[in-house]
Amino acid sequence: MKDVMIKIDKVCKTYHLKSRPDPIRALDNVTNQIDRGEVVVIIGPSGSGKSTLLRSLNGLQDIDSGSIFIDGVSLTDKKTNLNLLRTQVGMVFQNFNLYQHKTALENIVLPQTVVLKRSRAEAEEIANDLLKKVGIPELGGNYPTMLSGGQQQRVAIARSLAMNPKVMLFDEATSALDPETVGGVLELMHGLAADGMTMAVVTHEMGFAREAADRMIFMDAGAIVEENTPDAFFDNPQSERAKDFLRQIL
Amino acid sequence: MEWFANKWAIIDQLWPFLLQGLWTTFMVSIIAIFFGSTLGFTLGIFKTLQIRPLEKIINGYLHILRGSPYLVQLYIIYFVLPALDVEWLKFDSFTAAVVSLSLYTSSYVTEIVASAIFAVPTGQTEASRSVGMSKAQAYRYVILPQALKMTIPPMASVYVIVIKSTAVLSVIGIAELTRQGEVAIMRMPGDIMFIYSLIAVFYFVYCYPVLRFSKWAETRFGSVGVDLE
Repeated sequence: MKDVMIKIDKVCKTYHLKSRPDPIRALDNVTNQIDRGEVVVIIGPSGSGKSTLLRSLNGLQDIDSGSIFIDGVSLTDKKTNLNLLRTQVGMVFQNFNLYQHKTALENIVLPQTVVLKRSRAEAEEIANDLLKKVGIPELGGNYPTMLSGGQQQRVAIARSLAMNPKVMLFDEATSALDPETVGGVLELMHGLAADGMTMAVVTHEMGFAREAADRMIFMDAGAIVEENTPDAFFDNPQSERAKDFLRQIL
Repeated sequence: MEWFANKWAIIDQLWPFLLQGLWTTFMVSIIAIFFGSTLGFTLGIFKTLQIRPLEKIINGYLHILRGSPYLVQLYIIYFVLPALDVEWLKFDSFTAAVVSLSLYTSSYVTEIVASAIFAVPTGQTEASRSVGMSKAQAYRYVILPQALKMTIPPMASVYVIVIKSTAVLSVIGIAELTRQGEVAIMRMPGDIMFIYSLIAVFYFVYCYPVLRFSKWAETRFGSVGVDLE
């Protein structure tokens, strides 16, 4: 029997924007599940709901109906301690979102001391270990503005890992990076996947998807149109929509 | 030479008197800045919490205070409120001065603090919430430290405006700097120009360090994320 880490059940989300007359159906009855240790890459055209889906997995985006379970704990139940649950679901953003007033090391230390109540000494030790792990052990004292995009993203990944998450979500983590720094960050993500981290990745890096993903999910108009192993998906897409999409990006 | 001796005699005679006025100006403005800032910071934070009714009330408060002249507010608090026959609203002139100036200060501080908080990118909030911080923790450790740095320059301007606004208090008989000067002019009407200039110098002596301090604080704390050591 498979060990389910994330269970997504009939999730719907509609945006009502003042600037648009018609409501936007961002998630349309999405049902899926991600197993422990599985790496799922979600792709799709912009506006397909992939980011909304990812953000709903740690409650950054509230949903209208349906339910989401992380390792058996409901994210949508009002009785759930959402803050506690969020520590177990790490999120890496397109724009890194490092705390601008803190050094790289402090960025990793702060959530540990504030949320997990770790001692400063312990948090610093963990932070230094993680900086080593993400390949920038010497940059702990630098402020975010002094780091390149790739370096900032490494710090952001380390910051999430410091919480010992069960799941890591990547929301176009390499889209804002200079081309030459993309590879390093993808390599780091690849390493995490190899270590058995459960990951949901929204990305445009098809090379990464092919190598690292256990499963591809293709979304369009708020719904999952197609899912398959990377090889099957890329070599033999089933739906017209996926064929179109792949033709345009490859 | 004689002109200088003459003016020096005026300064020599008036300075303790004007210094007393400066002291009152200093006291009233410091108290108003303290209470006004405390109230303003609190309202500014509340304004950003996205609680609709609260936001409406605060906005109403701001519109009333910022949309009317300070002199009118002072008159209402000193002359109109006591007429309502409510015991605790019967302010003496010093209390009326401090209360009205505090409210006036708070309206500007509220706007400054709220705009600074709104100016912190939403990504900072998301990055805080996504690691499990509560909304309060995100404010305390991530949003406010960044927002407060942005408030330094506008806050100094408001403080200087408040200091200068104390001149209006002369109309309700507060013996602050302008009032003291006017009393002096009654005694020496021939030197009106010189005495007003003297008053201006006294105000400058108080305001200039405030602005200098803000400049210093801005370079010291203002530039987010740059280590100056």
